[in-house]
Amino acid sequence: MLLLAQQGYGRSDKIERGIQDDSLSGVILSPRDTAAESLPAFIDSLREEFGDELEILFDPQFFATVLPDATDRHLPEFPYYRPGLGRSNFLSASDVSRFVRDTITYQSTLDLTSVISPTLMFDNFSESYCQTALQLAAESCSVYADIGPNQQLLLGFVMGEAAVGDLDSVFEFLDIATAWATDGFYIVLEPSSSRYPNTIDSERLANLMYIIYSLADINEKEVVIGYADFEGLLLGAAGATSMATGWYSGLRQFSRTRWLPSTGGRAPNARYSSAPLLNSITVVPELLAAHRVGHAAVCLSDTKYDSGFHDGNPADVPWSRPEQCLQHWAVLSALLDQIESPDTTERLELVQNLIGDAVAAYNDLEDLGIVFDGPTGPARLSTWAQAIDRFSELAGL
Amino acid sequence: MSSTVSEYEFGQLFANRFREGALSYLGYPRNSLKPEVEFMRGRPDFVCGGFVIRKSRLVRVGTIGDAIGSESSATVLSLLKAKSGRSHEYLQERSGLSKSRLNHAIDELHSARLIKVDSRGGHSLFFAPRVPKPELCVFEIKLDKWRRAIYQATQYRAAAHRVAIVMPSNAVDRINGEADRLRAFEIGLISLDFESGELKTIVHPVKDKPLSARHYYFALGKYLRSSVS
Repeated sequence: MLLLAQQGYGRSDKIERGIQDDSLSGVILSPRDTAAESLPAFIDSLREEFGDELEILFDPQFFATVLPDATDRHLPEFPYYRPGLGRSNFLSASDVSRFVRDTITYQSTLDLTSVISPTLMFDNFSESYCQTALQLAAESCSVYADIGPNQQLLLGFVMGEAAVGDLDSVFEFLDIATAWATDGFYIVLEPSSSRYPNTIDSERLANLMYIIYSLADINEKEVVIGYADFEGLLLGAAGATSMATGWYSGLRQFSRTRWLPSTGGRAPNARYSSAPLLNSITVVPELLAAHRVGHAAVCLSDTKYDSGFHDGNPADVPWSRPEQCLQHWAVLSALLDQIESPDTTERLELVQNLIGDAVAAYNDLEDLGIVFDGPTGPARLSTWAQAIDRFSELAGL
Repeated sequence: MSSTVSEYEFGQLFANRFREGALSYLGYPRNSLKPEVEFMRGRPDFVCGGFVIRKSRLVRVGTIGDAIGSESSATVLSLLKAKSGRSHEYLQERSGLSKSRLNHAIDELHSARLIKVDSRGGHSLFFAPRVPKPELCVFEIKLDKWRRAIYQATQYRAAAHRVAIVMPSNAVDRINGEADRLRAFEIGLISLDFESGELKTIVHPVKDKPLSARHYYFALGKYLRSSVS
């Protein structure tokens, strides 16, 4: 499974450094956060520096058009995007076809690995925007065949966690999706809670794993998961080809609140991505508490960015946001390497082993009196273990 | 205690009792208690300082508060010594700050006469090394949710010399079994009876150096600012 950067605001040189570190195999570009006129030059510079092997995708973020007062920044600069569309704009088949054609045609002019089809966000498979999303996907297959660009086609879907809660709907979706003539899918799941790190319900996570397994393993489609984090390990074990994650929490789990007007706020808590714990814990107080009881080593990930934490007080280690991001990528990339196997059952076992080790590490730390905040605690590990069991049952593994 | 008491009311009772001198054995001036002071991580319910601010020093204290109450300035200050100067390069590498942020922080600290430049361009602290650093003490108020209380108290120890959780006397029984954990992390536990107003120290909040100099300077800056405004 490949790790990609999910681009957001404040790109600086993080993507290039992540690729140089061998943590990243590519990037999913964000038109919201890149000026339209500078995007082709950025793609060219990546190609020049890292070659044709680099995966470069472009998320058209078309879904933002139906969000009221969306903070879409640079998005309106892109020729395919039309801000402020509503339900009525998708009633005519010719309009739908035009939105698709414009989006795919624009991407075909860029040096991308694949083009991603336009989509709309939905919370369940029976709502009208889901029908429109299916229409956009079906139309994308036709338009793509017509235009015939050099790149592959990935059908984009952005759905709320609740959408994968109903298994019958999931089966129905798979019946439709597996019939499409596409090279693959770009799937984004919005967790019900925007709190970071999230805990997706075990049943829903299992259903998402099943979707991925059906598309990737059984139907041999490429499946790219956007806005993912540590739970990407489970999705990779189910067969996802790539996952993308970014430099702050809003790029590690999708939330539509990021697209709504905001009054700002304070800087996020500095976090340390712990491979042994499979979580991004807070430097203060969690890693600091582990340091105080002489057990910081239990949390440490052993990437090249960790050296300060091996011998110093974590609270005083210079830990800039770019370093946090690069370390996060290095950790996830190393973990994804650890579960690499052509066999789904074996990948699942490898993830289960990582979960088992993480539970043991958390137990050690809690026995020493360390208190973790809810989301950074061990609770979601058991959710993941349940999701793997449930998925294995569904997939008959 | 009445079950309808809110955390705010409970906190107000605590503040009143503190100002009446019920915790005078800790040695903090009665009027030094400030609510909701911003720390680099979190916002404790109450903070008190181990010093008295004279009226004649209010402007100076406010200037210092403004100068060190930012993450960049607090980080730079935490890296400086009184005797040996630190170069720009050293500060940039150790702070992880961008050049412009570092320059801004240095300018702020210079303007407040907290740091000086030596003949080789190195920056050092203006104040004498032996002057004890002003003490900060945190009180975190909780009606229940003791795990959350411990989590927050651990967080505030990064910046404060002393941290205590204050809970209703009937809720303290539930957390009392955690005394060893509290002692290990140098967190005090104080019970407050809502009916009688009696404050009782269950686990003594020991005094120790803040765990992080930069967290401390940031919190001190915010505390000073709130003390003069």
